[in-house]
Amino acid sequence: MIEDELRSLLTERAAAVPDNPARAVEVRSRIAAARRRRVAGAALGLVLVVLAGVLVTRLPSANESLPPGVPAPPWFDDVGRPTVPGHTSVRTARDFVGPQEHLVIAGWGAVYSRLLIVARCQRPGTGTVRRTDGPRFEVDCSRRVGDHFEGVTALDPGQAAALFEASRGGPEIWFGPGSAGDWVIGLLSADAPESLPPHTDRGSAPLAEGTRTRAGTTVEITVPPARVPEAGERIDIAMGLVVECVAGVQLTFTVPTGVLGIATCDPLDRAMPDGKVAVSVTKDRLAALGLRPGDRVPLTIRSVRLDTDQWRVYPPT
Amino acid sequence: MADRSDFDGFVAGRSAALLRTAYLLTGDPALAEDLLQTALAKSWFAWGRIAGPPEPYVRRVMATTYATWWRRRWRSEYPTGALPEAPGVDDTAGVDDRDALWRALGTLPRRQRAVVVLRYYEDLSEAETAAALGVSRGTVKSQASKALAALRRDDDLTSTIGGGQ
Repeated sequence: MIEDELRSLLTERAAAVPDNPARAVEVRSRIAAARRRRVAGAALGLVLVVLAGVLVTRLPSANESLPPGVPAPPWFDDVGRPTVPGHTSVRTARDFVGPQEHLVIAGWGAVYSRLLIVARCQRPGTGTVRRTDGPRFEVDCSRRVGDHFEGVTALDPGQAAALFEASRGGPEIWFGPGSAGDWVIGLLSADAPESLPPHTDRGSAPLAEGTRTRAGTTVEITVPPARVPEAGERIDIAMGLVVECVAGVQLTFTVPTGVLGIATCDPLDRAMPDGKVAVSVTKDRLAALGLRPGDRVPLTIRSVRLDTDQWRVYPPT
Repeated sequence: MADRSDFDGFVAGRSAALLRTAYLLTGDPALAEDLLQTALAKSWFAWGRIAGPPEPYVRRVMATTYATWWRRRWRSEYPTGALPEAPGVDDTAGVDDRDALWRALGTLPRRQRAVVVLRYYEDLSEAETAAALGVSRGTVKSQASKALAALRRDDDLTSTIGGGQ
């Protein structure tokens, strides 16, 4: 049978093969070479993984722009406190773990002109800051900074006002982490970056100046006469107040019968050319306050922020 | 579980036997040494995880390396339809029979040759052969059957040893 022939042949042939006395040494040499290849392979793999990670984390960030006036990250110091040049931290809350929301501010009374929301997270995600009865803002925490990620969202004066707008009992602001791991959320207010230039217009003396009355004052004004419209022209504005101010200033104008208007100063805002903002009072508003052209009325000016005196109010026109 | 400190002892004590199997698989002493050392070096990295005696593990590494990776390096022997030498029938027929069978063995596909070596030289059962090659028992049966059938059909073997049976 061929099976028997096979057994006989295989045994015979196998017995004829010479042994190798150096095998143990040669095998050790192979093992050492294989170990070197494995280490080199692992190192190469690690390099490739790191390169891939750099590409993945760098490429999406390349087209992302930062809010005006905000430098590149990091926006937190070594112990997790928000630190953005030109901004002052007004609230920091930490040790959040998603996905549930956390109350970060209740009954806040301040008003801010321009706010930054900065976030620090262990894993990339989109956190949310929302007011219970108001707007909702997102902060994309996906910029890699060392061993963690950071993100920033800028709120313009209107958004900041909407977030902190006074309401009964004050606003409740909630934060929702956007990924697993610990989150730190910081709210920062833009600093008043500069002083007003010296007043040089002798023909238009300020009605009031913060350098004299930082918190505000009451002055008597005359409601300007109504301007006669030209043919086909419709005039809705009855009076205007021009305010010169630095970022962060907010002034309220009241008469005995009610609020005339609010000036929010943000030189970064397009609506504020030359660092000036105009408060316009419509005819309807003027009438609602019981005022008519030529009336003499006390005007109370109040500055909400007391950390700057850089504001001027010019006579109504 | 094997201890790495036993590795050198295993190489000294059992590698000669494994070399014979490697030779039957490759048909070439140098290639057999290469195959054996490759299998030993591979096994060293898993030495601490081997459950039970290490020899079956090393044999399996050797067999699977031969049946797979080995084909990329082994260029000296190719299965062919016609054997390169056609021995005649004379008074040295006994020796020629063995040579013909040996050459015919070299024409088998590697997996069939591995099954033949493990079954008829190592005397492994079908289950042990299947485990050594990492295939099913049915595959071992079919591969062994095909190998034997091929050897029986070989013209040179038929002319020298009558095709077996």
